[in-house]
Amino acid sequence: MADIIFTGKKLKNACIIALCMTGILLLRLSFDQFQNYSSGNEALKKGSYINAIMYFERVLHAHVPFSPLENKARNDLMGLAARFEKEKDYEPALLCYETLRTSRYLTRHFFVPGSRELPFLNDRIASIKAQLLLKDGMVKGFREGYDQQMGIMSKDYSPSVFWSLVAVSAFWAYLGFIALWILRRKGVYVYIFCFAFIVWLTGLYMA
Amino acid sequence: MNRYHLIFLLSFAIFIFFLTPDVNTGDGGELTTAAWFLGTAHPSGYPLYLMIGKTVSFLPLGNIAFRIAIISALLSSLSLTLIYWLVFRFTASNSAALFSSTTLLVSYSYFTQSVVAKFYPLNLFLILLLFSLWAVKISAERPAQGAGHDETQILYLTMFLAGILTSNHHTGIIILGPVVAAWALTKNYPLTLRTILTGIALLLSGFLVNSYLILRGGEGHFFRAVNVDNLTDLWEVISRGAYGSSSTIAVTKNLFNGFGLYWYPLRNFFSILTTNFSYFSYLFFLAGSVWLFRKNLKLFIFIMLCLILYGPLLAKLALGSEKKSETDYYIIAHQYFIPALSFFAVVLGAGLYQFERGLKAARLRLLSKLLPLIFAFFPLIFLISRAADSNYRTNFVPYQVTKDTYSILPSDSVIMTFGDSASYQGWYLKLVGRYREDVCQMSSADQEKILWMLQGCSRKIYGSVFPTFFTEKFSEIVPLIQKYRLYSTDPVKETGAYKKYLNSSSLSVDYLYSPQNVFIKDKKENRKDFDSFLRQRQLAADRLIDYSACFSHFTDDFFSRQLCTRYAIHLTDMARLYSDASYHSTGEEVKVQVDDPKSGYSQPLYTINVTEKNRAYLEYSNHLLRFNQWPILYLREKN
Repeated sequence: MADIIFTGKKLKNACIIALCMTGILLLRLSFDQFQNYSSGNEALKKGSYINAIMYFERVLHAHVPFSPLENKARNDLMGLAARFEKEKDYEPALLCYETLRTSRYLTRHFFVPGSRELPFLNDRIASIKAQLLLKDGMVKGFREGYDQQMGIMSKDYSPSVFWSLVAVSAFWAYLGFIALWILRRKGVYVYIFCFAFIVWLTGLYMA
Repeated sequence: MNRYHLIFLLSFAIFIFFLTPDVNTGDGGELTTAAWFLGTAHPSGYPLYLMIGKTVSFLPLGNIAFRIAIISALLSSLSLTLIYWLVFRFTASNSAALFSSTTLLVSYSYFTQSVVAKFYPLNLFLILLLFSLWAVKISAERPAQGAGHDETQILYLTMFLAGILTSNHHTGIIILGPVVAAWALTKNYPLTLRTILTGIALLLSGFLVNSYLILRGGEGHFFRAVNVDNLTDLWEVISRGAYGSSSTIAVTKNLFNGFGLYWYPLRNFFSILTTNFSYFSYLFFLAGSVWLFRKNLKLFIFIMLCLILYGPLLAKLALGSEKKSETDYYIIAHQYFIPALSFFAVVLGAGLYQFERGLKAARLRLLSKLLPLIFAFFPLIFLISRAADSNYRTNFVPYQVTKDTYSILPSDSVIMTFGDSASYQGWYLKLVGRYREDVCQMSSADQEKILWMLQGCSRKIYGSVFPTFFTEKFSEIVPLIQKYRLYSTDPVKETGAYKKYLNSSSLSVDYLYSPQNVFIKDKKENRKDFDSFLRQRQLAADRLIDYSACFSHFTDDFFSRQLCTRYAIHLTDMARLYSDASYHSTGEEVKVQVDDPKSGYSQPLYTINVTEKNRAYLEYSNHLLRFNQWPILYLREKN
């Protein structure tokens, strides 16, 4: 059973495997981005704008940090949104802005990628919705609708990133040190397990 | 790098290639949302899966649903590697070990569960850890294998893993039966009090993973698919008490009822095996069983016990009746029996080894080397089949339908979702993706007994937008509904709780709800407005939705195909809208009626004049229905 414990060589192998796994994931996502961006461009040329939005969204969902295709898809979506807005075609414009905003939130991790453009997106979304609400007689004035929408969009109920990280790290430490104790029977592991368990609970509570 | 690493990496690469690109149907949306928010999922809560999910959600690659689905690919690859290691340890034959792994890899259910976000691969991995631990212990009793295992260490690991198993799917604990038998078969000395107490402590320390549910399932947490406010709730969730006759304890009682009723479970189980491995595999299974029986009787008993418990006995509990629906096959047969498939694959490897030995004994040197190797790689040919029926990489249907469901809604609307798929996918898009935050999503399991889950319509957020909606009086909600703000993914059902209050009309991929006439003051004016609004929204929706995802997915996913029907309804409604003579009638007439199997909605039988404008809609609708009529593999095999 002792051969399960990591040695230097095994650690090196683990690193190589982790690198290979990352490579596999990057290949898959890059391929998806390439394929969808090409389809999006084709749709754009044909004038199938809703179809193009769908493909550009898929490019953004296959998030790869620093991907040039992602940037191009984002620019194309912004371009389409501006064009629809200029033509006072509000619902497709809203679809573009919402798609872009959601793509950012669906690819968030420690932070939201492209978060710098979120205030702009929120502003455009709130403006368009306020105009649509005003048209439907749902609000008395543009300001009321705008403020209402900005109020909704400003709330994020996601757990705290810091405490989530604390909880996740402590959780693996909690399970890991029990396993280590079973394999090596060092008393110190029991103390570390107890500590990790308490930190895990604290992290969960605070997150 | 050794061969185990290669097996792992190759299977991981295959699964990643076919992995779902976004949210998948079934529990995927709920599990992803619960993992992101550190919330709770449906009973049994799945805290272990959610903690793993939260860990991978920090990966800065792909979207969150894709990251959660990576767990399945990762654990399935580890399970395949474990099986390779185990069979190699028994047989010392590369071909036999590889054969076990490749046959399992390409088997329909194993493959499909490995490329979507689900907890079954985790369940299997934990089961296989315990299985391997004891299988090795049994086989190590043979002096040639070089024993030296610390018995208490194995007992402790077993107890710890048994505790952890309680924090995932309830079928996991079945493995403890064969494990107890293995312990009884191999124990060399009596247990000491210290060992017993330490074992209990380790069982508890594994079980403590469930304390997640108390901490994150209580009042005040944003996402709770189940509420856990006290220890009674915790027990209810872990034992799945909310499912009544399908709860863990009630179902277990069925095991001992009607021993004569094992015929159908047995037949259903063999149907699952045949679908996944073909009739050809039984030859190898027979040969493998004989070899195991001769080689190590205890090991043979252990493996067969695992196979029987996770096969016919589980079928007695979950798949025991004579006639099974498509849903039964897709939900139960396709998911619950993966451990049985894995144990079966282990025996198949032993079968190939027996075959290899036979060739060697006949002194066919070249054949004894070549043939087993060909057999070991041959199953990979079936990847072509999986690319046609389980190619989840191409399945954007759940995401696209859910997005379109929201996209067509006017601002500040309320949407009611019924059933798992619509609600779970909606939660993912709306809560994790924050799509159309002006829309409030209310979910209920069904319409008959409405128990609203307000994760997508938190009063904290929407209390000020829809103050009337949070009242108990229906009459106060009527003005909001009359402004065309109430929608659903399902029509009002005859047996539904809202039947006496509401009507529904199909509007693109949604249903628009309106108050019953008794609640409306100016009925004539209201009808005119309603018809005009419906037409205007239908036209607007046609410009906002994209149904191409339903033509380009290569999966036989039951729920995705159901979702696509909603586009067919939209297309035929559009065809009806453009059937006026002013759109240049071609003189043809067609009868059209689309049934939505999910919601039970049946479109009225329309006779539509074909015009130049609506011909394309009719053709697309027809193609879409045909493309999505492909039955799931279990049913294809039967017919």
